[in-house]
Amino acid sequence: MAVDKNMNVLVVDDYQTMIRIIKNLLKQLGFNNIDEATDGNAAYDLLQHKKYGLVISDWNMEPMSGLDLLKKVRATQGNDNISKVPFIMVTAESKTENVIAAKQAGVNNYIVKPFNAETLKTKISAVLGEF
Amino acid sequence: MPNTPTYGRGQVVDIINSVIHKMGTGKGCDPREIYHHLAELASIIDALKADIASTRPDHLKNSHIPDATDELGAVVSATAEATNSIMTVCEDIEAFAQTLDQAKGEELTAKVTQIYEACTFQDITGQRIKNVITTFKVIEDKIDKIMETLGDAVGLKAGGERYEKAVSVDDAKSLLNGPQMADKAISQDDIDKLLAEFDK
Repeated sequence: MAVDKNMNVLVVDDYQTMIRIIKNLLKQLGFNNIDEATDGNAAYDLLQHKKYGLVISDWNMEPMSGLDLLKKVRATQGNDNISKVPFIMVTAESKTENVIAAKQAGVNNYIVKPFNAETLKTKISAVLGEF
Repeated sequence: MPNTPTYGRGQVVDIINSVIHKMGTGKGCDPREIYHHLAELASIIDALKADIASTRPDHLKNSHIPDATDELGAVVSATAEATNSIMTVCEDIEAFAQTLDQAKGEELTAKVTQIYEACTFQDITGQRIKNVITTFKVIEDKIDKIMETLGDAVGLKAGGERYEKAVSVDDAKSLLNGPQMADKAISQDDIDKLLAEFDK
C-alpha cells in the first residue's frame, strides 16, 4: 500500500533544533503535515486530539520520556489510533539494553543519533512501506 | 598534602595496630607508650584537618563548580543559537533551490540536507554536556557531605554563598577570564560609553 504523505506526523524532542532538523528532513521526503511536542505529556495530549500516521520521538526528555510515552501509547485502551500508531525512536541512547527495552515496549523502529537523511527514509519505509 | 609530609596512611594503621596489640596482650602496657601513640595520632589528625582546610573545598563547591556549570550551560545555549541561525539560512537556501532548474535545485537541496545532518551535533553535544553537569552536581553533593562531617573541625561550613573571583585592574592575571556570562558582561554600548568617559 502506498504511503500517504499527507498523514499527520508527530515529532517529539526536547531540543528545538532537533525538531527543526527532523521536520525539514521529513519535508524533503514529502511529508508536510508535521506537528511537534517537547515531551511525552505534550505529545500524548496531541495524540488524543488528532489522528497521527507516525510518531518520531526522542527518548531522553522530561518530565515524560520517550519510552514512557511509548508505553502509555501502547497501553491506551479503546483507541487503536493511539495504541497502534507507528512509533520510531530517534535517540542518542545507544546501548543494547535501550534497544531491547524500546522493542519490548512496542517500538516499530529505532534510529541512533546522529543520523542522516537516508537512515531516516529507510527506517520510515521499513515501518510504513516504500515511498 | 603540604602539612603531612611525614605521615602516610600506612603509618596511621601501624600506630593503631600497635596500640590494639599492646592492649590486647593482657600483660598490661605502659600508659606512657599509649599516650605517645595517641599524641602521634592526634598530631596526624590535626595535620589532616589543616590540609583539608587548605584545599578550600568551600571554594570548590561555591565557586569553581558553579562557574564550570555556568560555562557549560553557556556552551549549550551558544551552540543552540548558532545551530538555529545555520538552520534559518539553510531553509532560505532550500527555498531558493526551488526556484532553480530541477537538476541544480536537487543538487543544492542535497547539500542543504548534509548541513541539516551535521547540525544534529548540537543535540548530541548538549546531552553530553548535560551528563557532565550532572556529574558536577554529584561531586558538589559529596563535597557538601564532607564539609557537613568535617566542616566544624576544619573551620568550614557546608552550603554557603557563591564566591566571586576578585578582579582588579592592577592584577593582570585576575583580568584573564574569557567570555563572560550574559548577566555579568557589559554591552558594547556600555564599553563605548566607558571609553568615551576617558576622552572627556
